[in-house]
Amino acid sequence: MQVNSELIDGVAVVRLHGEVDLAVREELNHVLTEIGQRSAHVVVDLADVTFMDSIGLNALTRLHAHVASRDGWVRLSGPSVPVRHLLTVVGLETTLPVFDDVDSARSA
Amino acid sequence: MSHDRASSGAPEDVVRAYEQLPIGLIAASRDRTFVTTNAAYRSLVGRSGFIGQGLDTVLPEAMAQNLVRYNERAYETGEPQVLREWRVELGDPSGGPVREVFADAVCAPWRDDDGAVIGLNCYVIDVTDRVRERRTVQETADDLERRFTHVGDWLAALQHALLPGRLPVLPDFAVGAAYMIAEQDSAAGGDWYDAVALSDGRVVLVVGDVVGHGVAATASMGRVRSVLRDRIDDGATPQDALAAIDRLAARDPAITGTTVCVAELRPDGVVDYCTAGHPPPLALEAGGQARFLALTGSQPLGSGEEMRWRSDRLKAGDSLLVYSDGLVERPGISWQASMDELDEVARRTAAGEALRDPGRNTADRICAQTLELLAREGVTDDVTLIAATRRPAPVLVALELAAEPTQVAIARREVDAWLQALGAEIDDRARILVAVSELVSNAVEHAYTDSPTPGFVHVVGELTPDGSIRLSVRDEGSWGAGPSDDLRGRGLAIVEGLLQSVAVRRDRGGTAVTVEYQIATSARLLLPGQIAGHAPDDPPRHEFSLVPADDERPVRVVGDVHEGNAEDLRTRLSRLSRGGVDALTVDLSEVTMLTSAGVAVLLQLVSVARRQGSAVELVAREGSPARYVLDVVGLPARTRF
Repeated sequence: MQVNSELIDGVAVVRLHGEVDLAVREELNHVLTEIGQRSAHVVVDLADVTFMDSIGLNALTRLHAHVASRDGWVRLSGPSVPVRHLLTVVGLETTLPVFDDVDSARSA
Repeated sequence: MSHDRASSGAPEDVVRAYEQLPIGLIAASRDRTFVTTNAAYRSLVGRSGFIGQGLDTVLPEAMAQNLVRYNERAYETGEPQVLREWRVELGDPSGGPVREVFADAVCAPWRDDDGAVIGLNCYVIDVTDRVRERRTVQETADDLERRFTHVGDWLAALQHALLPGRLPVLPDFAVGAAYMIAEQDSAAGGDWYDAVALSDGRVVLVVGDVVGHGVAATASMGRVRSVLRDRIDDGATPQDALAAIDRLAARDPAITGTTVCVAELRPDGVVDYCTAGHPPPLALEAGGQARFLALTGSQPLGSGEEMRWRSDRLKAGDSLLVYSDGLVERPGISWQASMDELDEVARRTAAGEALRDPGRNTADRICAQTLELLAREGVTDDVTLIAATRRPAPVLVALELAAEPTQVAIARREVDAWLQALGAEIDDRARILVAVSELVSNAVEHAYTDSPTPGFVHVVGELTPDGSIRLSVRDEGSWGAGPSDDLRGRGLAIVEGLLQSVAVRRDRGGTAVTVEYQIATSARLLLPGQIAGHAPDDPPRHEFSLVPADDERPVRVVGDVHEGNAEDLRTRLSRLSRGGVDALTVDLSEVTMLTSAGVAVLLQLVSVARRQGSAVELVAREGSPARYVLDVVGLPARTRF
């Protein structure tokens, strides 16, 4: 997994690449905690995520809990069909709303 | 009584077991007062405080939604009442939204020691998830429906919804199917196909064609397909299942004359099949040869004659193609030429010499390409193909991995390579890979927390004879106190949400989690416009004329008989035989084209006459087009009058 992030008009945009599983849990939590501390509005772009399981969902819900306490939000962009399906199965599609791309997530 | 108690355990154990059984249990007395309920039932209904309360107070829905009727029927008949997938809307006493629940239930009379009925004993199983999943599949068909743009295409959507979109993936056979619905509404509607996998590795292939067209034919097709499929699913032999639809057809004129081919393939290559008025299956050998199987000589359904079966054999790598007559009944081509062309084209697609099509299994390729290659110039009827190739599938994958986080991805990759080799489709693979990831992660994280060195995780995947993936993840650890993350719970919940069944077994030797999930491949629906090179011109059609009988010769039909004028032929021949009362001989030697609609009319005339104690006899010169068609579908025709 690779992560890069930037700040666009006050919104943190975090792009994840590759496979998100147990092997990257510490790194992912570390990065997302840091971003959650810096910004209350976060778009996590999943367009290049080739695999994700509950490790990723847990990290995202933790980020959501962190920013929600400051009236912030976390939005997801571009997940693959399987990842989208996963969000539905666990009922997270309202907590972590999904958008087609980063721009529509930022400006929603 | 005392004996009973001794054999059924201590009362408190029985109560505990009753309370914890994972299906809902209720007992109620004759005056509709609850006597007992268990936890699963209370949780399903979302209420408590049943004991001693009346049904109408605690569960007014049962009154409102007429469930009480089945209680009453249990009292009246003294027999258990079975409800399947019963839809119930349950209100929330604290004002929340109404829940829709689907349940299977059985209500049985509850008797005292003297046998008198004192109340009802019921069990209830929540099957909401199963029903929802099926609905999702149906919605996919609805999406397809919205894609249709032409008026009348809803018929295609209806037919599509009635056909099995998913085909089994099996250890001994690769299965594929393709179909195309006729362009003209006047012809579409009656074709169906099916592939039924059985628990001992057999697979039954079916292609049938109900007489007529339009919504009535589609509805009849839905009925006859369901009955055949249901019988086989319930354990009937294909022979008995076919006999059942034959009887159905004898009672129901809408189904009379349906042609069908049923072929049962065994893992050892033996094929038992019956061609009931249907063209013969085509065996495509791995060595590049093709041969039509012999007709079994059975008549279409409802003709009152016994169904005859034959046996044949497929070698390893051989395929069997079953198809509807729409494939050989093409405008401007004789049946004979068309059958020869089918033989040639299917042989080439089986050998992989036709179109390039990587990633498809042989059976799938045979169906899709044969359809595409033969239907380019248009078809006048629905066309349906189903094929199975005898192949050994890699039924097992077994991995032993170190219990380390980096191994989770390796487990996924190995399992995915195996699933791809089986021919699993992307959606099924994605679900199974998430399950692998969750289960292996759990073992890596929690199994060996108490041991100084990490142990191993074993992953075993297996394809069962009836086409399910059974995946088991096992460790040899003790599952000590892990981090109090909600991961473990959420991981398993995800696996349960994605797959059908999850079983966890834990003993001193470690923990094993087994999941089972039925995988499938898709049948291909081709719409006429989707085939490249297709020319949507109406084929030239000629009419027939009837030449009256004279001293020398019987009534002669001269010209084309097709779905556009078959009804006219029926009316006129029926008049000549005074509704089947008078014996009639019809000479078809000068028929230039005879489609399945015409065959159906002839069959009906023959069977109506037989019922009246009379006879309609068909005559066709050897080598004439009609003779060829009658031979292919097994209708008896004399050579010379």
